[in-house]
Amino acid sequence: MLRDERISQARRRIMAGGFGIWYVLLLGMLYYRQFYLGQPWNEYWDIALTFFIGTLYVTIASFARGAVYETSMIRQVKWMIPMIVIAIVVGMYFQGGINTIVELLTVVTSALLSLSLLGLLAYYLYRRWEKKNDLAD
Amino acid sequence: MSHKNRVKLARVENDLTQAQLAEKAGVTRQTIGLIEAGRFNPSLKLCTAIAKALNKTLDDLFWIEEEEEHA
Repeated sequence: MLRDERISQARRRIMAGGFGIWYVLLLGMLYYRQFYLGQPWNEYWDIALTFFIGTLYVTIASFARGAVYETSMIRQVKWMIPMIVIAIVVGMYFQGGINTIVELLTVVTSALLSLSLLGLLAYYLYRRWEKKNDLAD
Repeated sequence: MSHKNRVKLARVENDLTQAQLAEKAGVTRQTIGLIEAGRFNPSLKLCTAIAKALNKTLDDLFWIEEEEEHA
């Protein structure tokens, strides 16, 4: 069967573009439902879960296949700081504001723990890819 | 047929590390490593950038080899 490089490349770009459109639309739907319609999250959990799975796949696959630029642990930590701040703010919002120090600590600890685990997993997957391809320093 | 290259040999001849060649070609060290190992097919644009960085022609660095058919 004829396998044309140009057609394969064009198809990959179209698929990536299609995914990009879906991704932005899903995010838009989430914002619309949360902030415009004011729906509680349990009314749109299916959309949120779809968005989460898509995001998780892109993140994990990028590290597992070496498709990242920043690889050192220090750079990863730098990259994670804004993510942690955003996670804390979002966590505070969904908890309906922070009233006690215990609530604040719970949100901060949850954000730190979950993102640290994600960071460690990403680091492990990238190192595993490097090792598999004999690219480790 | 399989794609072959002698990027590693040319790099060593030019006394360059993978990181130095990567910087000259505008890619990461890992990409150079994968090309040298034959695990990644670079685009024509990258092939020419590597050839230029190593003062070689495309023919010097990349070629296609017919595989022997086993009965």
